[in-house]
Amino acid sequence: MNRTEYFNGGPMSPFWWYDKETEYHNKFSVSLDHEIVPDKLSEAWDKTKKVYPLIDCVPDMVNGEIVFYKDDRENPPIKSSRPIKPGTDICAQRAFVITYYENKITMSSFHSVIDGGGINMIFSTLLYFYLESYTGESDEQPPVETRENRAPDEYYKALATIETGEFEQKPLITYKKRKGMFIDLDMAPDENGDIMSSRIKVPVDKFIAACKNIGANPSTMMTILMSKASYKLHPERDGDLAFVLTMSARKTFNIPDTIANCSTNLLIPVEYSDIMGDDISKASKKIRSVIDYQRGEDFIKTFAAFFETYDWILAKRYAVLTYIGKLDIGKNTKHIKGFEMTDDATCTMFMMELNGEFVISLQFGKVTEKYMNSIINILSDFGVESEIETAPYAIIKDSDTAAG
Amino acid sequence: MIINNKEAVFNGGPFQSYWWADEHEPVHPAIRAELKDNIDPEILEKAWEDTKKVYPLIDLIPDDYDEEVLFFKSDGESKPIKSKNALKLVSDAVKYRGVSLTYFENTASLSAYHSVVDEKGLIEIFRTLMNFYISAFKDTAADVSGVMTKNNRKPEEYYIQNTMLLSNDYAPQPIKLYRDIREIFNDTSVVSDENCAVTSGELDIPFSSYDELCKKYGVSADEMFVYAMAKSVYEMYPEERKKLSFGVMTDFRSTFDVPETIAPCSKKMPVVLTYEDVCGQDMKNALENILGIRNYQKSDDYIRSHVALENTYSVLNIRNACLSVNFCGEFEIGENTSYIQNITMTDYSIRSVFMIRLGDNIKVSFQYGNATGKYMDAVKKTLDGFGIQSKITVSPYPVSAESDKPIV
Repeated sequence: MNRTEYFNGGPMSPFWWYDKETEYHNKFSVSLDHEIVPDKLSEAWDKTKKVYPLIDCVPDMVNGEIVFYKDDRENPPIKSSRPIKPGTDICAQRAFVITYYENKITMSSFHSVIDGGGINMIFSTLLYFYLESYTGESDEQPPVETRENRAPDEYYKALATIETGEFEQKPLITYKKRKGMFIDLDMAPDENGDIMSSRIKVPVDKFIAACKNIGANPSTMMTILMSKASYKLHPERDGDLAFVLTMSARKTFNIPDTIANCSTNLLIPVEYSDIMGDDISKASKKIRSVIDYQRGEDFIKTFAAFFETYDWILAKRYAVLTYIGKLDIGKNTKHIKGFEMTDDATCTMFMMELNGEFVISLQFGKVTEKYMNSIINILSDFGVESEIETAPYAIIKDSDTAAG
Repeated sequence: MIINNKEAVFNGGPFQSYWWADEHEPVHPAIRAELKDNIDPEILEKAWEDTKKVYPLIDLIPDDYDEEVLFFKSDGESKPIKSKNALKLVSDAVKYRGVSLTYFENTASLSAYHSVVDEKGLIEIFRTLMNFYISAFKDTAADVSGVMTKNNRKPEEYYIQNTMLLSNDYAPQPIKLYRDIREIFNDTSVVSDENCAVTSGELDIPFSSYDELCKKYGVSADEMFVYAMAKSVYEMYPEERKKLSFGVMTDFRSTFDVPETIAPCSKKMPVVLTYEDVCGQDMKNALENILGIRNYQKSDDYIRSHVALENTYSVLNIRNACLSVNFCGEFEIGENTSYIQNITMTDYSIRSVFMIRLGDNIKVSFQYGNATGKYMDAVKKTLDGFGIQSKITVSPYPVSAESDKPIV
C-alpha cells in the first residue's frame, strides 16, 4: 500500500485492540426534523475533514505509537440503516465513518483515536455545516470549531502525551472494605449476545433544580441515581459500591481543542448508609468532594503515572457514568430532535443536554428495563418527571457492508 | 451455599483479577523436584492423600462467582498422574482441581492456578508433600520443624488472600510510580519463542559464596540479584542510559500476621534504578540505594498502602520491567532435603527468574524467551566479576503447554 506519514500522535491507546475486535464501536447519532439530503451531508463531511484533516487519514500502530497516513481513497457518508465498522474496506480503513438513513445521521469511530468529547466536537462541526447548508442560516460566531487548515498538533493531543514534569504525587482513591462490595451480574449481554440500551429524557431546569436542592452537580446526581437504583434493586445487599465517572481533562491541561483521548476516570466509592440514609445532601457533598479531589491537576498526573507504571483492572466496578455536556450547534440546534450514544458495555449511563432536555442513555444489558424503571421512580421522588424517549432495544451491531 | 447448582464448601473471598488469565494461559506456576530415585507411585499417592488432609482446599474445585473465588464439592479423585507434562488445570484431566500433581521417572511436579495459591503457597504445599513422600520412601520420621503436617485445619486457618486484608489504621505511603514510562528501558529483543509458551534455563549459584557477599553488603539474595541483573543489562547495552525497572516479589504475610496462608498474599513491587545508581557509584553505595528502596517497600505502612491499592485496582503487572523476581527463598525439609537433586520453578512469564536455595546451591531458573541464553551468560559473567563462580546447568529449553492427556 502506498501511504504517506502525516502525523505521529504518540503512544497508542490500549483501545486499539478493542477497536479491532468489537462489533459495537462508540457511536453517536442524531435524528433531525427532516430526511437527510445526501449531497448536503457529503459536502458538510468534506468541510468537516478540512477542519479536522486527521479524521480523513488512516491510523496504524507503529512501534507502539499511533501514526496517521494520508490516503487517496475516499470516505464519503454511506447510506445505511445499520452502522458501519470503522477501519474496514467500505470506509477506506478510516477510523471514522458516517452513515445516514431517513432522518438519522450516525458517526462510528475508533476509541483509540478519539474520546467522547472529541466525537462530540467533530459531530457538532459536521451538523453545523450540514444544517447551515440545509437551512441557509448560520451563526455569526458558531459555537463549534470551523477553522480550516490547522496543524494536527493544534487539535490532536492525547492525555498520554502530556509532559507531566514535576508534580506532587497524590494518594489514589482506594476501597475501604472490598468483601461485600457488589456488582449486578445480570448487567450482561442477553442469550443472543445482544446488548440492550434505552433512553429517558427530563427537562433541564427541573433536573438542575433537584440537583441544587441536594447540593449536587449533574455527575453527582448521576452517581446518586445509579446508587439508589442499585440498592433498591438489591434489597438484600448493603455493601459498598464503586462507580467510574469519565471526565474530560481538557480544561485541567488547557487543551480545549483536542479531539484525542483526553478523558480521565474518576473512582467514586459509595456507602449504603450515605445513599439510603435520611439526608441525601450529605452523600451529595461527599461525592462532590471525591470528584473535585480527582479533578485536580496533580491527581490526574498521578493517575496517569499509575497507568504508565502498572497494568491494572478495577475490582467491583458497578457502572460507568458520563456526563457529556451540551449538544449545541447554535441557531440550528432546534432541528435536532434526538441524540443517542452507545458503546459495547453493559454498564454505562450517558447524559447529554439537547434543546432544554437531558437525554439520559441507560445501557445495562439484560436488566436495562429494570434500571430504567427504577431511575424513573427515583427521579420522580426528587420531583423530576421523566419520559421514556426510547424503550429498551437491542443495539445494532456494526457491519462491514451497508444495508437497506 | 448453592451456586449454579453446585455446592460451595468455602468462599475464599474476593478473587485475584488474574483468575481470568489463569483460565486462558497455557502454563501455570509449577514447582518440580528431581529425586535421587525413580518415584514410587504408591508412596506418592499416599503422600498426596496426606497432603490433602493438611490442605483440604486443594482437593476441592475452585471457580469464580461474583468476583470471588469459591471452592466447590468435588467428584472423582485427585490422584498423582504419571505424565512428563503438566496437565491442564481445572479441566477433566485433573478432575477440575486447581492444584495438580504429576510425576515421571524421578521427577514430581506440582502446578496450580496462580489465583488460587501464590508461589509461596505452592512451595509450602510441595514441602509438605515432599516431606511425606521422602520420609515414607526412606522410612524416617515425617515431622520436620517448619513443615506443615497438621490435619483437619479449618480453611480460614490457612487460606487468607490479600483481598481480605484491608487496613484502616496506618499511615498511607505514596506507592512507587514512574514519572514517564518512556524513561524506562524496554528490551524489545526479549520476545517469546513462537514455538513454545515459555523458554527456561537454569543457573546454579554456590550458596556459601553468594551468601557471604550478601552479608558483606547487608542485602538479601534478591537485592543482590537485582544489582547483578542491572549491571548485566548495562553491560549488554553499553550505550543505554534509560532507567531500569525491576519487579521484586514482596510477601505480605508477616505484616498481616498470616504466616500459614497458602492463598495469594504477595506481589511484585518496582525498583527503579538509573544508570548512575548502577554504574556511577561503587558496589557498596549501589547496594545501599537498592536496600533503602526495598526496606521502605517492606515496611508495614508501605505494604498496607500497596494492599489497599491492590484491593481496588488489582495490579496485574509492572510495565517495562527488565526483570521480575517471581520468588526468592529456600526449599528446606530437614534431612530429607539432601534427597532432592534439583528444584525448578516455572510459570507463564517472561523477563523473570525464580531463585530457590536447595542445599549448597541457589537454583535460578531464567525465563527470557528467545534471549534466555544471552541473559544467563550476561548474569554469569557479572557474577564472575563479583568473584562468584556460577554454572549454567540447563541450557534454554521449551516449557511445554499443559496437555489434556498425560504424556508418557
